[in-house]
Amino acid sequence: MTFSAIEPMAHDYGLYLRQEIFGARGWQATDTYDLFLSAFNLGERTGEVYGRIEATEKVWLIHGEYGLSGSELPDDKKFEFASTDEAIYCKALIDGLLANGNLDVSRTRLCIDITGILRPHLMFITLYLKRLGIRVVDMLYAEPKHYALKEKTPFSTGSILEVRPVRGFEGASSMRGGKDFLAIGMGYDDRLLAAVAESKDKAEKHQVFGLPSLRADMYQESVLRSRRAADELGDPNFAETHRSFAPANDPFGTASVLSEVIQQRLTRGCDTSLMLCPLGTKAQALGFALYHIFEGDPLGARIVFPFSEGYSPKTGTGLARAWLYRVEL
Amino acid sequence: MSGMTPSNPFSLTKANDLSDDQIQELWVDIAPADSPDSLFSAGRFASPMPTFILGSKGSGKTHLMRYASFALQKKRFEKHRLGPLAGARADGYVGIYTLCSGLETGRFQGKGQSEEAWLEVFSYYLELSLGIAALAVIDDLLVEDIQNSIELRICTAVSRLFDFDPPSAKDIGSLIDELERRRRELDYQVNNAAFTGELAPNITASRGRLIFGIPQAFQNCSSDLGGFLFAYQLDELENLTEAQQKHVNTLVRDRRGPATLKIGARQFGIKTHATMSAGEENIRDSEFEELRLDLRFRRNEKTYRDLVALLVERRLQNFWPQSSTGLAGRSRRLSDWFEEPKRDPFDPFFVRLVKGVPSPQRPHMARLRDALADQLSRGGVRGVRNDQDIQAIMSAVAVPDAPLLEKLNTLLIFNAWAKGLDLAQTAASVRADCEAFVSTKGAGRYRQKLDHYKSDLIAQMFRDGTFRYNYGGLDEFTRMSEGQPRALITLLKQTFDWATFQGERPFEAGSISLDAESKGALAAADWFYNNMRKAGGEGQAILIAIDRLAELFRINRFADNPIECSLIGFSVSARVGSETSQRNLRLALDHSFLVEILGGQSERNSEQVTGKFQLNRMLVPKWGLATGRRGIKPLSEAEMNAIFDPRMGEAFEKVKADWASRMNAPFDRARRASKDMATRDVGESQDDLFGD
Repeated sequence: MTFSAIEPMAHDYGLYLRQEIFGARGWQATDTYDLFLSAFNLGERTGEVYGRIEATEKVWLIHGEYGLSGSELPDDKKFEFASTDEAIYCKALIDGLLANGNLDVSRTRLCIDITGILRPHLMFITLYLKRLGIRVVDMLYAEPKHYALKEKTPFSTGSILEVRPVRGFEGASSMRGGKDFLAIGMGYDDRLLAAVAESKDKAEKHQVFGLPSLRADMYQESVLRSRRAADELGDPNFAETHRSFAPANDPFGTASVLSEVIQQRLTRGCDTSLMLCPLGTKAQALGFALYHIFEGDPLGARIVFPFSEGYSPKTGTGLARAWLYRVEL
Repeated sequence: MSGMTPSNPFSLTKANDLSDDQIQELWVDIAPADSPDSLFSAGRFASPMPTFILGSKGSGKTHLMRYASFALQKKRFEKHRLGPLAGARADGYVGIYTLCSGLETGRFQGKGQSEEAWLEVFSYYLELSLGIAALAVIDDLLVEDIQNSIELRICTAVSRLFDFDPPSAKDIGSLIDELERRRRELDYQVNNAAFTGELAPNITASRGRLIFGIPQAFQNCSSDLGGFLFAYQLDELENLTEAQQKHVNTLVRDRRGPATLKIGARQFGIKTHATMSAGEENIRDSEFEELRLDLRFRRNEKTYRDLVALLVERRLQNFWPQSSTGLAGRSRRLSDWFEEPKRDPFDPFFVRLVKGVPSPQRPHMARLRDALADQLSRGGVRGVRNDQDIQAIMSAVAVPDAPLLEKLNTLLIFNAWAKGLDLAQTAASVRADCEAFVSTKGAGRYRQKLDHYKSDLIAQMFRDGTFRYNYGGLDEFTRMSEGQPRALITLLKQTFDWATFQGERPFEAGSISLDAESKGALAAADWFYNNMRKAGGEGQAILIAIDRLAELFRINRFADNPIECSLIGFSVSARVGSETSQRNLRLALDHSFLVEILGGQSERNSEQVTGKFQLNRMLVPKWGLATGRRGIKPLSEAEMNAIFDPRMGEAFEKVKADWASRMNAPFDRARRASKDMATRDVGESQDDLFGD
């Protein structure tokens, strides 16, 4: 009897709970929490969710990158920290919560609205919570009715400072092969897209579009935006083979699609250095982080991100739907 | 040919989108590889002197470096039936190609650690990475019989290079595994620092020990192993921070043994030449040589033209077999596939351009007549006192069968007006000159004026007829690409797309229409321009400056009396302009929006260092400007600041008004301006073509 090498089983993201908590039927009842975190910006979505969720302690995260003035900030309890480095910022936040007893790794029922949290921060927090031993965290995501200026909506502002790996998701070069492969979660921000595609211009690129998109027209808008960076993407013919689709509001579905894309790529050639870059919705960014935590890290994959000087504090209008994702780490 | 068959032979514009086989097959050089004139020789891969291979985006750095790398060398060795060692000795080097972006240098910063600590880690990381790459090449070089006898000796020699904890591997594979294990450990430490705030790497080899030590150790093992260099090819150095570049510069300075560095970077990507050896700077031609690819092409237009023609032929051979062009016994020249813009003044095209209407109804004639009539009501102008005088001038300048000459004649009248000359006399002499030219087609004063102003005149006629100005022809496209092969490929890619979209059969039948070429040129200009959008604040400042400059050049191009012909260039003293405007000028140069004019007019005023620059010709279709530069406009300090300082919007509006008023009838400010010119340093101003 001989044993053949057994392919590692892909993580089953289908087991996670994903629940619509606001939609056509109005708000659904949610658990009550000990601690609720959300990032403040000028979109209606975050404010509405903040008001709706019941928690003993609620904290607004203030991101300097939104460029809000003192008078625009809420009066509620908030966390401000003068560092744009996601690791330093998030460590200060979580370590502070641990120190003052608001967060107890084994007991606290924690809920985070990821809608306004910057992508690198959102990913780092998720990883940090896992490293601290937190087992379950509920994450919420609120969809806009539409983006303020449709496909022309500006998201990032100012200069793009650098394209670098997100702290903690830096991968291991020792496992890297000769060929670079970059899976990009496609969003609206063609400036960020062009920056990352150009910075990794030696990499073969695979585009993961949000489809089904949040709203029917958003997929087309995102395709329109991405066409502007077609040259940097090195995909002049917009080839089918370089595209996949993952639901824009489903982190678990996104992680699952990424898992397939990477599997397929590694089957074609295992001598591959893997890179991921989430530029789509926050729900998709969470999916990228989860994929990395469960499967990408052992492969030496890294998550890169184009860091911009600032971000527009209001991109979407209204609240269309809200989702709860029960993330089991 | 391996790989896909694209629907457009020019769709792959970047070297990194090409496979190793494609790099090999699409490689073209301007001379045989062993000739000192070849690009390959210019890379000086077999020379111990370190080389910086610089060039703007798309100038061919990566293609050259990848072509010179060991992966491609091996393919050529196989082709020539050479073993790897014999091949390496024949080439004089082995190329160890590494992309700096692969190091992800952004990891080596922040996380609560000092810059010095990160630099130590980065240095060790580079040491391990290049050491692994060198060992992998050694593994490939050693064919079996030699490998068995000396492998252990190499491993022992390499282990002595470590400051402590020497690896105890017995074969090269295990040695590589051990170095990779150490690098993995370092990766873990670097990543973990974000959570722990601690960084305590176990650095087992100090700077340069492995990078220079491994090649030396290898060649010391046997006399059979010498006779070539290990050339570390670091591409995309611009991805390193200033401190990290300083580290690389220190390696360049401390280079020793049978190893050298060949460094590829964008021109503006070199942040410093300083080293860590007491802050000393590396000096060009002393510590390193420099190869500037696009400059080399721009200096030698003929060479570049030949190179790109070859490059296009090679593309067609590989990706467009149905093409009926090509070197191999096919008759049609490459340039014949491109319809050329019409330039002959007697071409019936120009009659069509004015829609076949008689002279008096043509827009340029109406413009002159109306301007003179207007001036009549304000007291007239020399030689024009009444309507009959105007009529006489209009009859004198009319050339019914050759509207382009007629257009030139109106310009000559405007020019005389701006100078305050008698227009009746001018009209008579213009008529005589024009008639002589029509009958003899010979050289002379009139011919010279036509040649100088033809581009601007035709552009004005296109605008009058509300047509899009034409760009086209392989020569024009080559000129527009400014020494960047990728720019030319992009022009051709866009043109090819438009041509096929319009139902043409490029490179198969007929010619690519001027319409498709012009649309292609405009699309390529947009591509080039839009590349800058993502650069944020800096990019914005460049775009504002370039837009303003182009606006002024447009005023000149479409003026009644352009002060310079085919104006896309300017000169400015190095001492002129605010800090902001000088910085933005530099940025525009760094990003190739502007290019320095080489071998321009000689500097008559030797006390001032004056730079001469022009718009990158890839951009000119955006504004309908000329691709052949003739005039150079010296900029005053006020003009320089108004253009290059984004905050000077109001000042710029004044400059614009000033330019428009100088160059258009009734030329209120032209005479004052000419007085100003007389008192200014006019060294580099173009000779006045009408000053007879």
